[in-house]
Amino acid sequence: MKKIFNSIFVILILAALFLTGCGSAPQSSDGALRVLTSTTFLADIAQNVAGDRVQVESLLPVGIDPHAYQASPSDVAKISESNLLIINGMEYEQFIESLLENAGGEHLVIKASTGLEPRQMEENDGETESGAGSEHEAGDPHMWLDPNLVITYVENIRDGLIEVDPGGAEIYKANADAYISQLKDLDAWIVEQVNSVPAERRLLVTNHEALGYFAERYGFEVVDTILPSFSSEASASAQEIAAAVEAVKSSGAPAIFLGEVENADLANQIAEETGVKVVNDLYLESLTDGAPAAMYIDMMKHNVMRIVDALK
Amino acid sequence: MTFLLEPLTYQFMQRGLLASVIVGVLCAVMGTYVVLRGMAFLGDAMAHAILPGVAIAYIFKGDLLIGAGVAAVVVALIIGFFSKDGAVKEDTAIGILFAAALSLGVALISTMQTYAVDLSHILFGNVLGVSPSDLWLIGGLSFAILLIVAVLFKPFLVISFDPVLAATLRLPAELLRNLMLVLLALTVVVSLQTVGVSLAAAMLVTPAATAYLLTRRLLPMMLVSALIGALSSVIGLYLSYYLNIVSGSAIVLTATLFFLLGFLWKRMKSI
Repeated sequence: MKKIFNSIFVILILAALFLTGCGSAPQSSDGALRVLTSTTFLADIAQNVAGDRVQVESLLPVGIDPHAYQASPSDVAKISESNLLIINGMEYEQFIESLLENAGGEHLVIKASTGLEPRQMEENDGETESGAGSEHEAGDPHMWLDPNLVITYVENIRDGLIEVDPGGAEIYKANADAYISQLKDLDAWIVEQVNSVPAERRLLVTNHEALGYFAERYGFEVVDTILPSFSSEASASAQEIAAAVEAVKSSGAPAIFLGEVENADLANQIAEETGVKVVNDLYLESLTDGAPAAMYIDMMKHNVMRIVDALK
Repeated sequence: MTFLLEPLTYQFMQRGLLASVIVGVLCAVMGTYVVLRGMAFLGDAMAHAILPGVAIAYIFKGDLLIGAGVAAVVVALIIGFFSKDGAVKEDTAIGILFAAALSLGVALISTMQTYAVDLSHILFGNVLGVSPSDLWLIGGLSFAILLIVAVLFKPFLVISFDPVLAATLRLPAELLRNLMLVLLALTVVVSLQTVGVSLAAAMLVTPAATAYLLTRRLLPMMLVSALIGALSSVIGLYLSYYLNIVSGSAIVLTATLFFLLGFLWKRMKSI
């Protein structure tokens, strides 16, 4: 029985290899260009550059915690059938790395953050950080939370689109320029909003290190991050919670900020201890289906409004 | 025929199918020892127990998989040490070790200042994300492990079920028992890395448990278990393709269905 089964299986595999060898490798049936991004906000940014010429799709659905994501075969087929795959880079996509690498198919992979210098995590006491330049030693990947850095994203995406579809070069350039000017408007708007917050109250306490670039650009000070790491496998020690309480108290930070998918238990604990607000509906890593963060620019505006309102 | 061939036009499906069949057979064969010795949660436990090894490998910039493998072997040997001469049962030793190792891992990771996305998840594979080198790794290791099991089939049988005979034959029982635990540890680590936790844990228990319903003799049990493991992998992966559900889950649920059928069959027969 097992032998029969084994031989059937071998025949199946051989037949499949033969078929793919004959060049029937999956191709988009209608010949249309297929652009896939890893996350929803990248899809929106890319769609703005692609305009009506190409439909951009996101691999991760709206509102899912990337760590909870499990791919189905049709998701992986999307990767292998895409012509252009746009990812954030900076090892942000580690959770789907094996899928991206092994899905097969021929596509150009664009790292949207290419050319940007990552910020490294502060407070490195050097013990665990000897020998820089290891493959795991990427910096903070959350560059999209500063619209100025997203301009580089747009340029990288534009160049990628032109490479796979030279015929649309003029359209992509025009779209990219238009979107870049929207991003500059967004930046000016954020500066204006933030100016309504007194300088001494521009203090951020966050759950994990997500808002670093944002803080740098708009003159916020990140007082403390509850989890001193980007890893959700890490939990805070009693001392770290105590340190967070002290930091909140002594700095006078008015609120603690969390992404919408994050667990607010520790933040609530610290808020109770210090009497500050907890804002746990920031959208940091995913757009929403409809309001308030249906598009990247909406997402940023929503986050800025929530932050400014809480700090004013 | 196109029904069977269409999914295989994708390379990731070909590799996924091969990987899940290899892991299915390997885990199902080793799983007979797991089921017979009452260590059903070894797979899940091992998935957590490797965390300190991964963390240490990360700190010293080593290969994470090697870190995981070393941690698994060390944990297996400590389990062997504590359960020596029945001081505590094997499953109790697993329970203690797994909780301790997991806590050590969390403590280590929490003291590191890093952006590394979820260290443990770096290791946990997905059936659909198997690379060609992964295939060679599990293929080679499965061959080696199954070869050792084939060569040492009799001694493993004797030490598992007839300690008195083992003593009479002057078998190095402790050494063999530890070797078996190490083989199990390696099986789990490699399966985790290629196909993920839930699939590895299920494949280690469900096919063997199903086979146990059908036969009590070790060799037939291993063969039936391997067949169920392989069939579940193939059927599960096809179901996952056509119903568009997560592949690991589809395979586990297919194996569970086999178990239910086996259970019903057994009930019908005994009436």
